[in-house]
Amino acid sequence: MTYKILAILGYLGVVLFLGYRGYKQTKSSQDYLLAGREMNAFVMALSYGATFISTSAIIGFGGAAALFGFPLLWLTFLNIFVGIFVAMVFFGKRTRLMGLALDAHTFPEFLGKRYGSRFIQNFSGLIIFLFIPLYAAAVLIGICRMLEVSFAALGISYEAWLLIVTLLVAGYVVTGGLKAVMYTDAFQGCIMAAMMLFLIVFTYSKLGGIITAHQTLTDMAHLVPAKLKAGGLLGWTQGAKVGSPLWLVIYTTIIYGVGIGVLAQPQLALRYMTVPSDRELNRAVLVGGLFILLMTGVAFTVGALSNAVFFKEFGKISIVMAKGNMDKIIPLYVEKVMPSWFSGLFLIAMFAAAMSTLSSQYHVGGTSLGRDCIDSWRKKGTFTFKSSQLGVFITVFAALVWAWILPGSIIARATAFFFGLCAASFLPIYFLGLYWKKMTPVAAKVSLVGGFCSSMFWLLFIHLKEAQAIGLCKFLTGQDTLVSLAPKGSWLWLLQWVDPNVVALPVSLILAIVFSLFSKSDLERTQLAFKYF
Amino acid sequence: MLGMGSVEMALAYLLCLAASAFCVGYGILHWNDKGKTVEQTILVSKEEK
Repeated sequence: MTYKILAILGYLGVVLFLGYRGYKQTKSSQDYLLAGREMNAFVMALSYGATFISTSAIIGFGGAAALFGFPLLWLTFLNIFVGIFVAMVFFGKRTRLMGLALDAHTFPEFLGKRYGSRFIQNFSGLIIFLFIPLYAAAVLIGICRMLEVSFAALGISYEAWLLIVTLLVAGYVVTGGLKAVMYTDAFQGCIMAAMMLFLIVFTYSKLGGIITAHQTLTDMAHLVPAKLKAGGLLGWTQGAKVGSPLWLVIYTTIIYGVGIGVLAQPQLALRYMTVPSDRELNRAVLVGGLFILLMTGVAFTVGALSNAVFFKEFGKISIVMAKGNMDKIIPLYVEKVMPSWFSGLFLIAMFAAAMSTLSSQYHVGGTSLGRDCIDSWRKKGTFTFKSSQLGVFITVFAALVWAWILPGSIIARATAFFFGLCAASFLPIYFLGLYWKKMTPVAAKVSLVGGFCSSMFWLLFIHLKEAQAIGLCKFLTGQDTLVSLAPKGSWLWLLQWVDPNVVALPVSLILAIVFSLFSKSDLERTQLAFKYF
Repeated sequence: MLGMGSVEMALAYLLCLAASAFCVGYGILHWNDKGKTVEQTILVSKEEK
């Protein structure tokens, strides 16, 4: 216990020092919002990666890998290829130049200025400000539950941990802006990478090497729980039966939803505008490609292999060891299987993963309210980072309230929800805005609102998990979803497991293209946006 | 293949490693490529502090 406390205090000392450094270097709104547009490649890449990967990816999705097995590695592949390579090379470079041409400081401001529309800036800012606290609350819940268990001897309640972690992170985000966020993210990213490297080496060694480990898990296919087999899972290294409910959950929500959704994450897109040239983005591809492999690649591999290790050591598979709670599998694995010294350090790594994501969520939520709503409604051309600081404060408070009232087992669902909502609302107008000169302001508005509404409709009335939890469909129609009465096994009935993004993203894309063909482009605005290409 | 129960899973595993190696290769090849240089006139808007 003493060791854990000392390790946490040492870690917090460095984080607070870096936060203070960021605060001292923040003199203008350019510093507060975009870290002065002068970040180096290493800090940028690690900040991007550490923001991208939170406790949700390691604990939540790692636990999901223990349940569903190796198919989740497709998500790692997309995380690396789409989330790093495509993001940096095809989105990052153009976003940086266009952001400079338009003098944009936030993601909503970028979209608003690209189309010369204050509505787009305000509406995008509001979506982010209203929904990012939910995602932040999920991350906050994850780390506070872990601290509650790890420091049970201290008798600190879960609610007290919520307040302590919130105050710690909010302190340096409110005062230090994006510089403080990125410096601390980079430090936290280093800790995460070192811990995950040890985790994978140890796990493979424990099972006798890479191929032997995989073969052991392959031979355990008969131990897959009956409920998962009924859902379509064939085995942890075999995958799921095509078209089964589990196949739909794994491939549409987890892999497609989260894998593609990363491209329209405002807190990540913002980072492209923090570097001075393409060189930093090129170098970030190298750092990010390795970093993500160490994060989700390791978490999903260890998650799946935990079944083999637990079975070898305790005669039970992971979900049985965790008494049915998927979110407890990775913490339990670390506690029961890894060396005792590692559990303290792993706790710090998870603390780091949570803090780095939380700080960026607070920052982007706050600037969306401050810069994109409050400042945008004030006298034109008058900006102040005081309103962004106020926005951060309100976002922090909203996340705290959500964390207080949200139910358990919400981490992975809240993450997928936010990723999906952002993809459906922003991805078509962001991507087409970067590459297509004929994309018009009218089409952008229709696509933005259409993508948002279709995503929300699917969540509230079709997708079983959310529709059932929210209950609006039941209240209005008496059914959990609009298709729950369809014949079991029919394609209509299976829609309940299809992610909103599968429908909402194409709708939003089609709206953007069709309306662009039949409306007028703003030539002057387009020329300004494309002036560096 | 690789001890996996299906070719699809082995492919996912290998593609993760290949994607990561590709990123490393890309980063090395373009290490000093600054791309289009733009005169960085920072258009900081009227600002209150």
